[in-house]
Amino acid sequence: MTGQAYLLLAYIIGLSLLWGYAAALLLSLRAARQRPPGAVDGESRRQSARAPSITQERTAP
Amino acid sequence: MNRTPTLTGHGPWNARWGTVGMQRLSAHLVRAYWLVTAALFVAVILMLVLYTPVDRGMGPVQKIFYLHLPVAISGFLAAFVVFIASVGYLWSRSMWWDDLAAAAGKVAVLYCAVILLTGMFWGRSAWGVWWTWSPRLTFSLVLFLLYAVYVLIRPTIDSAERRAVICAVYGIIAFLDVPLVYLSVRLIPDIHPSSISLEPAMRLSLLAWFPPVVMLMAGMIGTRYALNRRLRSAEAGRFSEAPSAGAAIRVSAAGGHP
Amino acid sequence: MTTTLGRIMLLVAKDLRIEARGRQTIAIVLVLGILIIVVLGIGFGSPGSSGQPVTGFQATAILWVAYFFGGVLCFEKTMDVERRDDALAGLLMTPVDRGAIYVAKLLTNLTLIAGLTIVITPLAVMFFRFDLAGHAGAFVAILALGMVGFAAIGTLFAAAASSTRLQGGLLAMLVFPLCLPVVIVSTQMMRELFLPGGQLSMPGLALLAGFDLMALTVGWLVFEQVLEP
Repeated sequence: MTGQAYLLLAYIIGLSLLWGYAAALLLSLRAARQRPPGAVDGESRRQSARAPSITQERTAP
Repeated sequence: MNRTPTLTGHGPWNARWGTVGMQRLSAHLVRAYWLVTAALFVAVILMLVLYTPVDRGMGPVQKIFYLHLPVAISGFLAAFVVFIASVGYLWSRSMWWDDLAAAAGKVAVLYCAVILLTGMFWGRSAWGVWWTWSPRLTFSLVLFLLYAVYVLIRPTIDSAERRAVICAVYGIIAFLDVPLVYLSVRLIPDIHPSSISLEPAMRLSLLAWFPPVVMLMAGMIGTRYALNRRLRSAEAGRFSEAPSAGAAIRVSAAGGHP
Repeated sequence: MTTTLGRIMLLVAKDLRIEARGRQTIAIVLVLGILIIVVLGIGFGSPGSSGQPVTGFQATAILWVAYFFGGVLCFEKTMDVERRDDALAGLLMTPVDRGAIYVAKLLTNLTLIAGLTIVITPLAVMFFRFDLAGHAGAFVAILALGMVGFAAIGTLFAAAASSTRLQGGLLAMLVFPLCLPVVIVSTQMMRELFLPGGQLSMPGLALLAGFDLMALTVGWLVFEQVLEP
């Protein structure tokens, strides 16, 4: 292989590793943010604590 | 010194970005940060192809250097973040330091892997071998192993408290090891030329590669950290009622996190 | 100061007395070390007609593998003694500085490792026909400095990991990468030593001493935080 080919391969592998990981991180953070509220963040947890849950309504007389 | 272990111990970030408006603003800023990083990467790649001169001695393969060196420096920076976060954890015992150390550790491993790979391509092209036990290759391999073990050991410790302590101690010693490894590999006989003379245009290209590579490293650590915080608070929420945002602000004000 | 020293000696004497009565750690560690030497010996094969099968440089590698695996097992076992019958909880209740407990454990481990090396090294010399005799003093110096740093790291992590399931191979995985500078420096020093007209490398000795100093300082400082019943 020529020097040009090694150069190209090094950059393709290096950059795709770096950006691949970055993209995977960003996607999983977005997925975590879009998860149904409840256990994920403080804001939604407080809201669900205020609203009566389905089970509570059922057991209420 | 505050030794109270806080399971969810909200970092200053979470406490300060409490309101919805601020959250939206920070989301815009984060998006802008990533767009700038990506744009800078495109720019320096174009610069590499169109502007940077080809080295007369080594030929085109010398251009690996423009990725190799900034990635190496960013890798050390990530390792330094692990060190700072480890010291911070042992000092304050709040879990967000541990999350930061874990995030930086993963990024350090990734960067070390890229250092190794680009170095190997260079070696293969310049010297005809994928690997020699030359000082610098050995150094980057040891660095990679140090932080790979850091990342691999983390999930094997069940208790969050013990994991944070053991990994913090490891993170501190690993970083203090780095200069020792650097000095010790210099005892290995080196057959390769050590200094590379750069023309002004080459030096400019090299400098241009630093901002995007360092920004990518910082962005990755930040994203991984945000993800770790979310996972931690989700885990805490499963077992107990997490403290409210107001309490978190009070805690972080009283604890005096930097 | 003298009381601290006295307490350290008391703790070391306690550990060694337990060891002398049971002889559990040293027996296991020795057998493991011998097994490693035998496996490597079978791997390298008989020298044939050429005489010396292994150079002094490779000798360090072989010996270091045996010392390191034996050492990690040793750290684990000496910490394991404290696990039994909540002995550690009792030890932590005594008015002794945690740093002193660390130094005591370290000295116990170093004593046991010294025992390991005294048995393993002649055996390896016999199996592989190294010619250590020419540089025996330098070899002992490199070995002693290297083992202090190794034991300082190992004792610290054995204490940290003893309440987790981070045992066996996983403890080795924590300790080995951190001790790679010791391996690099000592193998390079041995290589230089066995060159014709080779001498003990002073920068190498300084590096080993620097590693020891770093490991001991960090160990002394963080041992208190790491130790939990």
